Amino acid sequence: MDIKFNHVSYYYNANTPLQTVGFKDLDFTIKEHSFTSIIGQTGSGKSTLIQHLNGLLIPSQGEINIAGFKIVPQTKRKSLSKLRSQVGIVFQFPENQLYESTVLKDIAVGPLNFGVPLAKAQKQALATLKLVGLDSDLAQRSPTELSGGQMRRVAIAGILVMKPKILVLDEPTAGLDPYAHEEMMELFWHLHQKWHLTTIMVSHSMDDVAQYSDQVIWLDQGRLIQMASPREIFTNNQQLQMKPQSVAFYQELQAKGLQLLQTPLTIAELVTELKKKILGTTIE
Amino acid sequence: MSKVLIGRYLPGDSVIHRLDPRGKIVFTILFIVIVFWANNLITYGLLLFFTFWLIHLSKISLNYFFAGMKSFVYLALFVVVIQIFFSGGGITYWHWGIFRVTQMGLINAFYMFLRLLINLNISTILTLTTSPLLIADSIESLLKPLSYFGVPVQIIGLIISIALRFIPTIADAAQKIVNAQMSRGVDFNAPSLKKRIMNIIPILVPLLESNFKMADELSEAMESRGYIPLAKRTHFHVMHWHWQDSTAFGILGLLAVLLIILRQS
Amino acid sequence: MSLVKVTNLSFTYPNQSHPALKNISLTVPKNSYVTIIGENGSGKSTLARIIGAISLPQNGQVSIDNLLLDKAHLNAIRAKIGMVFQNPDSQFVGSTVEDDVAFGLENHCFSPEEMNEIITKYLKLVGMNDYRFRTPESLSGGQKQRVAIASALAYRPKLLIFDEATSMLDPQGRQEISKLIQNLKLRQLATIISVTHNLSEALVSDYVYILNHGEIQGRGTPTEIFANQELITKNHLKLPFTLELIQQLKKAGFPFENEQLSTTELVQYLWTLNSTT
Repeated sequence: MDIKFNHVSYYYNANTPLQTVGFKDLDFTIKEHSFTSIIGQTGSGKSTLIQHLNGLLIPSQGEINIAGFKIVPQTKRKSLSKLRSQVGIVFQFPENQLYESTVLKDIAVGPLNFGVPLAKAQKQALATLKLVGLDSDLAQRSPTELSGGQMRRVAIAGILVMKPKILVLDEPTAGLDPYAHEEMMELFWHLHQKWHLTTIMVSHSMDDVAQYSDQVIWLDQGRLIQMASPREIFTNNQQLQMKPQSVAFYQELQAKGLQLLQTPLTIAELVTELKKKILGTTIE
Repeated sequence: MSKVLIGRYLPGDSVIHRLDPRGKIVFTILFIVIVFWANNLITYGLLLFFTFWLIHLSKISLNYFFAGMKSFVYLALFVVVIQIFFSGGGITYWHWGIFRVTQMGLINAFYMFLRLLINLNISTILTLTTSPLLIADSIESLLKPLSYFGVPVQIIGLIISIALRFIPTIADAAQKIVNAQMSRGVDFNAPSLKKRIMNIIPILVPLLESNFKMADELSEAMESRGYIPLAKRTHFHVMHWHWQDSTAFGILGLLAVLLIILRQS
Repeated sequence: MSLVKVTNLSFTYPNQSHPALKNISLTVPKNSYVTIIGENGSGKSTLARIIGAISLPQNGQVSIDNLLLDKAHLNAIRAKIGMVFQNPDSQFVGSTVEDDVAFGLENHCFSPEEMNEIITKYLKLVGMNDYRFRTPESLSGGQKQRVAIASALAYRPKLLIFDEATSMLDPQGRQEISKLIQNLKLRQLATIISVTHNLSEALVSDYVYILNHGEIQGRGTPTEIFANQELITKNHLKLPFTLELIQQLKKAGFPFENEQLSTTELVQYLWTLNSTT
């Protein structure tokens, strides 16, 4: 099922003298099974937006349709607890949310809260531990004994274990080294395809945005500037400060007068296009 | 993102902002003491008017001031209602069981409300016009005599200023953890009280853990910048006593004299 | 003349079976810019913290500016070192930007007049003087790190250590801070050691050490390091974009005589190639 935002606005401290805009009049549809990225500077409304996806915040105006739920300003937060088992949010630095005494117990927190019996929840937790690429030997260890990278995987497992239909990622690679960064994005891409997820990612890494997304939502100061494919977003957009590295490189080529057939989003596309243009052949 | 004003600092450039913070703290304490001398309409009125005059001098908008005080005014009213029902004397207007509304009760409650309001006003003016760091520095400076008795006054001052500095950072971390746990189905409105209490653990454990980590990192950063506990250090903010500060205490003295003259003996 | 000299340094954390550092020896010449590169868990932060006089060495010796790092010299050595750490929030000691810079100066007993002058000078240097009275929660991660740099520089240390100072920042903040470090190097304000997992930061440094499993795996000038493909892949590092592009173009059949062109040079090269074919 698609996710629909129908003229949704959110105000912090609504109806007080200190009211401020979280975002204003957002109107868009996110297709089922798509990979959508949300980009924008700090203060653009990105994190306010994702908190609406599982009812942590309720809109001040407008209507949201998500996973069979209709959320309007009158909706009670209590009525949305079931929604949270279907929309999994991996927050920024999720390793900070671990609290149980063992890795396995921590992963099982979600299913237990949503009423899965203990034995089944632990079985699911063990399976998810392997899914995120961790050894099952770690199951009985305390999360505090793990490395930072392993802790993040445990926290992600704690969301995936609920088998969400919609997966929301808030800066999932923040603080990782380049190698771990790539591995992490591979994991999400693999799951996106295998589980037919609808994935929504907030990211500052324009290389990831360009490489993985079907569509990009560009926010600025709480307003939707553009929603389009990554190629459209990154082609001829002077306003956009951050670009994928291959796009930035291509712009230097353009400044010299070298024109390619399309804006290359990744290093592989850049090589292919340059080969077509300069060596006159295509790569198989 | 709360609208509550207590403890908040509004940077500005008014005569009140520029007063020596040490003086302001002592002034506030003495003012709260002399408020107890007021015992009739004219003395309470005088003090209330005086606090409004200070707000005016501080260039803070009255609307903004009272929007921020609203919740405390409700709290004060609650205390007052209790006072009405449980204090007696004079003519009884109404009674039911142990509850009675009397003339004296009403008058006492009204004065109590005024006293709370005056005290809230004066302490909010102090925090609104003085940066937390200066308050911490001043407390350190005012407590200095205690250092002769071996009290580590400098460390107390530093602790206060760091605590104030980290309040927003910790509040932000707490909000993030609450969001993350709610997303994992932790229900903070669970029907059973036991469950609700248990649900504090998923917040408290990670919050403590991240605070300890932050404290570790903070102490390393402080040491690396040359902080040695109990060693001599200088102060960036030098507090100067100006004629305005003496004037403020002159005005306070005048106010005290007026109160003694005007109060009911 | 070397400012930092590390000889046969080893370090094991309590309750750990594997040492975090094994037999490390290195020197850092005065006024140079040295990067120490490794993935998370390679031991690079431990090394930075020992050179930064946060922890003491267990085996082996470390000397900073001809002072042997031990308990007796700890405070004297710390006064010669400025450190910028990873987390922008937990190293922000002051309530405002200027108070944060003042903190170190107060510890080093500067007078209030001197402090005011120094604070202005260094906040201007890092481009934060307009934010002097701002509180930390109103700043971005990159801005907080700029303040941390000003705070570390203010008491004029001889050695400035960046301990993964950009790893918690977004790409824009990372770029800003990298540029600022380059600028500091040009002004020769201090000897710089930068510990990072980001190989592109090594590009502008004088000398590079690659660390993994607590041991030095490779050392050399950036040109030497980037020419050693095997070293880079073996240590889970990623080539900077332009160098990676050259490698991939080469595989696709583009002829390269020099494989270490700068971005401008590569653009020029491709443009020339396009005009002649």
